[in-house]
Amino acid sequence: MAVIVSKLLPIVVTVVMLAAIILLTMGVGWASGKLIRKMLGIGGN
Amino acid sequence: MDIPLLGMIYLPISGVEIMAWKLILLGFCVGVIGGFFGVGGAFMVTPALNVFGFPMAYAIGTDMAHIAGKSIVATAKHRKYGNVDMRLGLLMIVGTAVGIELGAHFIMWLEKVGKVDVTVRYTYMVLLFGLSSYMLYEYFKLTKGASTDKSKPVSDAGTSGLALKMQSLKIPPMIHLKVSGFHISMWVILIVSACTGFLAGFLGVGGGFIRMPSLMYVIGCPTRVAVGTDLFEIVITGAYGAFSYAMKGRVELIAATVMLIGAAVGAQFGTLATQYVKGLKIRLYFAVTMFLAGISVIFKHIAGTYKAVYSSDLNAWVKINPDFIQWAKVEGAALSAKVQVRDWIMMNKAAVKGWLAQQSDVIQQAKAMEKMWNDYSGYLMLGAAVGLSILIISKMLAGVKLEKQLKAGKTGG
Repeated sequence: MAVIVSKLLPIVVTVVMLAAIILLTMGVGWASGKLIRKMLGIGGN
Repeated sequence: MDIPLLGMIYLPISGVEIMAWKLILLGFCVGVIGGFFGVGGAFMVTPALNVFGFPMAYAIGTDMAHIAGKSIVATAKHRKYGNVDMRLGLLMIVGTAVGIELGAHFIMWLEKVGKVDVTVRYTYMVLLFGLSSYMLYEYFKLTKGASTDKSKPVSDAGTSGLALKMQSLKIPPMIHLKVSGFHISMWVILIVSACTGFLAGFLGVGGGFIRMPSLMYVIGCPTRVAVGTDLFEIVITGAYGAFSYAMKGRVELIAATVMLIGAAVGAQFGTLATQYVKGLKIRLYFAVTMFLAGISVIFKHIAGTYKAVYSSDLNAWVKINPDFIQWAKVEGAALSAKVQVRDWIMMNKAAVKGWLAQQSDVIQQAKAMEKMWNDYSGYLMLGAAVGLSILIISKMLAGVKLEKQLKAGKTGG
């Protein structure tokens, strides 16, 4: 059990960290996209 | 003056200090370019990070993480605009995976016969200059005597003769690509993607700059669909690359996050710009980018010739160094002899500096020249990234203005 956990833990930590970064990026992307469209005065998507 | 959030930040994994605004600016510019061309942009980010003092070993991994995140944002936006052909993208991923594996095996064979560096660098140069020359030739051929009426809607360059031939091959199973708007044999997609994957694996790059033109010229996708579909593929390959490098401890997470904040905003501009710039113009800017990347590789090649002056002496010194022998037995045991030496040099810069200080003037001068040409390569890519993003954003703003004028004209008249 300990062997499995020690092998899996780095993978889980890496995936969680990368996922957190990507979620943050998507949030920034979504917010900036809204702001850019508002500033340029183009609606729609 | 140290501005909060934009000032100096310490990166604990690689042990370097860097100004955050530089990373945000680089991320933003490459975000614009990536969203506009459908490429990851590693050919710009890696040398630029190197110029900022980032060790190469960490620059590649950090860049991978940045590419994966940025491509998700850009792909989501392109999907909204109907620029992503999912069926084509998924098939391309299968072919690319096979091709990358074959390319990696070919590299190992070249390493055995000792011709890897020269072969990779020359192939890279031929590809970059070949692609850019063909695209420039096509652009000038198609625009010669053409109307410059800016009020026309976004247009494309049409399907190339090679793509028409590929689409006419009726080898079952035939697949209908709804977004791209044509039928094509599944085998054509798999073979083309395997070839581009082979080149990417062989050159050690993401391959967006090879896939994007092949989607346009060999498969026959409209430019904007080629951009969106390529980005979709980069999401998958970039995520795998980021995971793989992160597991090896080669991703500087703070730097990747800071760059991604800039890239997320930049990708919005780049993606939006594809709606306002003609497909043919996208091809022109892409050709210019490839040309500049080719010049940057020439600079790297010159740097390599200076490195050759001292590399055999340095390698010989490393191999008899007791610290290296100890490290190679324990931590580097799983690596090949060549990679062991390369990795140890990257991780022990102070020791290498000490060795260099004791060497002859010829070697010291060669080292200085190598650094100078590497810096030229990085500054060229950095300048290209900034210049191109300014150009893309200005074209987008002009397009938005024109669209508003046309709408106002329609409403008025």
